[in-house]
Amino acid sequence: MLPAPFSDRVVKAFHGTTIDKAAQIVKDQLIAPSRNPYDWLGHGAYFWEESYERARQWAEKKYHSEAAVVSTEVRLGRCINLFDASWASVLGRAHEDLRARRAALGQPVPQNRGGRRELDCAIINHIAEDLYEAETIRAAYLEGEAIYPSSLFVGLAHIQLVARTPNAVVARYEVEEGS
Amino acid sequence: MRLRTYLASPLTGLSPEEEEDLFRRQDLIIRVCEANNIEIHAPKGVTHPTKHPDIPAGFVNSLDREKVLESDFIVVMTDKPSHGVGIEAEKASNSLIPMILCSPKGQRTSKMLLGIPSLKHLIEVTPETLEQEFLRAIEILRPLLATRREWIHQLGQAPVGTRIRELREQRMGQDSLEELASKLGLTPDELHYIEEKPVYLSNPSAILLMRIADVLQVSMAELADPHYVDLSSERMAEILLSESAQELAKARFGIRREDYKRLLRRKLQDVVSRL
Repeated sequence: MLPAPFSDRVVKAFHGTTIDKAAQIVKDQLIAPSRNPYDWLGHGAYFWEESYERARQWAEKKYHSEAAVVSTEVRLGRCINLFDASWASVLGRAHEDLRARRAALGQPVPQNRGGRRELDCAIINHIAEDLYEAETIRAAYLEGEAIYPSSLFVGLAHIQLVARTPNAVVARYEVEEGS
Repeated sequence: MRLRTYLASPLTGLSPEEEEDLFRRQDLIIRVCEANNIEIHAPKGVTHPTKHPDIPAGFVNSLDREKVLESDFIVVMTDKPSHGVGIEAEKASNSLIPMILCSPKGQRTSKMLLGIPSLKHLIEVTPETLEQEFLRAIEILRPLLATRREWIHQLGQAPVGTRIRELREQRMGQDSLEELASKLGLTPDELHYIEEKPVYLSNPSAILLMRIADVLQVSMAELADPHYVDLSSERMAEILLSESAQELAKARFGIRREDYKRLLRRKLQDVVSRL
């Protein structure tokens, strides 16, 4: 496998969860990686990069009064940084690989439906498991309503960051005050 | 970004049929590159040992070496064992240049090539799939190629060769090229190349740099650190005795200006006495 380009940049990362799970995370100093087939950026521990507010909004919407936010720092390291346009060709090729592989096996191609990004998940996992060794993956997620008419700024935009290995996390997990 | 590549391939020791087949595949790769705005250097058209027998060996080595090291990636035809291909792959690997190993499907690929730890991408091709697989490989490598271009440009500014020449002239005299080359076990031309070329082309090994540093009685940092700042004693004293240094000492440590010089002298004497 090829090594993903390296960055020694360290970013603040927030993880929305429940109060009980936050306590467990702080105790274990570990977030168990998510392995759902619909996780947008493939398998790993998910964070909101540099956005406590967005993590808090998400956690409160999902867990209401049980919501909590845990913070830490993540070093990008070997990073599949989808802000870099040169990854577009890799994504395109990975999509073609997936379609060809599924066709050969007589299996359907996964689909993206709303927030369940099964196709994206399969493609990112293929890249991160078969093509490039990566510690982190990051991408911009645009969601929410335009803030004013014709605006490209949307209310819930954020950077999603996935740590594929615990070694990418370089600071202690702490529960954020006010969460 | 217009990419540059080098086509590393066996050129000799091939039967006529093998050569025809290999060169047909090479021509396909050349056409694909040209159609995709990739500048490609293929030695078979320039420095072939039997087709261009009058080109001196030193020139061939030098040209092919530079072409490899100027490339964003290299394409390695793995059909047959080849000294040249092995050397070119090693040079690319040492300069962190990604490689596409292009292997005929069903044929074994040299373990020396497969064993290169990273920055290689193997494609196993038939004549029908070569173009598609080659293009796919380039697209998969793109993030690496873009990043490498960026940092090699920065590294290339490091004046390693210039430093070696300046330090050699300072310490051994203006006409000391032959003398230093001899001490290092190099020819004068080899040392001249290192002194004159940007570091991404000369790429002196760590061992060689350490040896040069040892012979010239300097540190590796003086040779190789792009951020190294050579402070003469006069300049160092100027900085330490400057208004700003005294202000800083006062602000951070509460040392009065009058006491600063006295303390500095005492500290330096203490350091010298320990040497």
